[in-house]
Amino acid sequence: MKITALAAIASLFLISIATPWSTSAQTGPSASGSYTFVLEDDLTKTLEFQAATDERGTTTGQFTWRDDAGSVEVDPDSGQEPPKGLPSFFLTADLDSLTILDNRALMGGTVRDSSNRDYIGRWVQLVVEDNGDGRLDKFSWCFCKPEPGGWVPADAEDPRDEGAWWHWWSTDAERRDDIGIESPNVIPGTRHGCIIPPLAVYDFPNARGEGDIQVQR
Amino acid sequence: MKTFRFTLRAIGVMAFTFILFSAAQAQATRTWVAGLGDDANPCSRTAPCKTFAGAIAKTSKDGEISVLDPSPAGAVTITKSIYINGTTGAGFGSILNPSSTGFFINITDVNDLRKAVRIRNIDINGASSGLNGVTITSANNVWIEDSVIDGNAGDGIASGIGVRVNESNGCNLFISNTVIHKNVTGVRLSTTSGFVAASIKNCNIEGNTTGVDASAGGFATIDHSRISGNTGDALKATASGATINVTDSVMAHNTGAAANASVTGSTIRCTSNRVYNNTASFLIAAGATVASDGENRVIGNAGGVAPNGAVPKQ
Repeated sequence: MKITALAAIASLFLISIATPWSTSAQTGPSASGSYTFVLEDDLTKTLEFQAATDERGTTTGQFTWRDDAGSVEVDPDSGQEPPKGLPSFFLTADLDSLTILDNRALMGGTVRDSSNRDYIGRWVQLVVEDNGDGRLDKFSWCFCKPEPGGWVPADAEDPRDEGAWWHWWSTDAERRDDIGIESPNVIPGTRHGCIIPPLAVYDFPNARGEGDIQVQR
Repeated sequence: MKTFRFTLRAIGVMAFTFILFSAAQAQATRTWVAGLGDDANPCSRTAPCKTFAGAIAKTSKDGEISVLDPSPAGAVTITKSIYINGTTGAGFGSILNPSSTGFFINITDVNDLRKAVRIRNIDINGASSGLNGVTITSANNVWIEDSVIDGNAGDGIASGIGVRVNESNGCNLFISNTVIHKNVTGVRLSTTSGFVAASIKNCNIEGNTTGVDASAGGFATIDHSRISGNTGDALKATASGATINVTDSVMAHNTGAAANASVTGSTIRCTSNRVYNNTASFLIAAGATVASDGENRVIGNAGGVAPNGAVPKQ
């Protein structure tokens, strides 16, 4: 009897300790999912992604894309059409931004690896909509070239000035929930070449396939 | 029993969910192209493709490709019924087609019952070296509206043509509010079987060598248009049975003839036109016909002959 009571108390104690940890591990919004689908071209495409924002507002995540349609860059002014029968195209991107509005999430990141080397360094934009179980989730993606060029402003008269390329977050150290304010970016050449409309107006393609998407605010 | 009912209900729900899940949204997609687009994108308005060729694969039959900005969108082969809309919000959509054909229309899919293509608000620029602006080898109906087609060079028979119909069946071509200039031949119609019927309205066909050439099986009806400033003939019928009807139009300042029925059995009918200052007004080969309703204004032409046929009024 005493042993049973002690075991029960110990269990309750362990649970009470574990609960705050598991709660803190789930702080911040997140989005994740995977889908295998086709568009009108009937060529299989697969996307997998996960992104989460921590307490300080830093977003990390990964996006993987595969497309049997292949990829090739054709100059529209050449008068030539892209060749047919291209090999499958893949890329992976590090996601560094996450915005959630209701059941939609907008993620952005930079391509780190790709079967088409021209895509490395490009920006990727992923928009997903979690419509729950039993209803079709929606998603869209966009690849954009970053704005070319760029320079770092620096004081030429001060040899110690390494240039205005520093990036920081200012936060209230006395508040755990203060996600901080990002420093302004004065360096051109890092802007993305994509249009970024309000999250509510994104178009979704007519995709046929299966998968699941979760968006957590 | 309860377990059996529950199982049936569960199966029914799953089947319904599967149907709901796997049923594609309605077809007839609308896709978009833009200068900042990428052909790996889904071609939506917020994630456009870059070229017509990239977008057409993701556009359903009878769908529409729209243009977001005036950046060149590349040459494309069309093999299904489709509407290509250059739009006017940010200017014309455009194709630069040096040494190639802007739109090559060849719809042979037996399941594509309409075989119809509509091209609107597109600037097709061959940059003086294009093959053809639009080539049609297989389609039922093609509309070209509010567009510009120029800069194609070649022999004027197989290439160097603004709009070339080279069919093996019948075809209807409708061209309206379009400028066709600086080609060897503006419009050329031919087929090996059936008829090619072209209706041309409110068009300027200028600065070509030949304006409109109706060849084997070709029938062209032109109204309220200007076929002027061509270095050869404005209108030319080049096969037996080929017919050109032209009404309420201007044929002026052509270095050749305003109307040339150039082979036996060809016919050109002219009603209520203005024929001014051409090298020749009408040229008629032996056995050919140029008919008039007597209401044409013909003056200032250096040569030519009078019509040898009549278009009766009824």
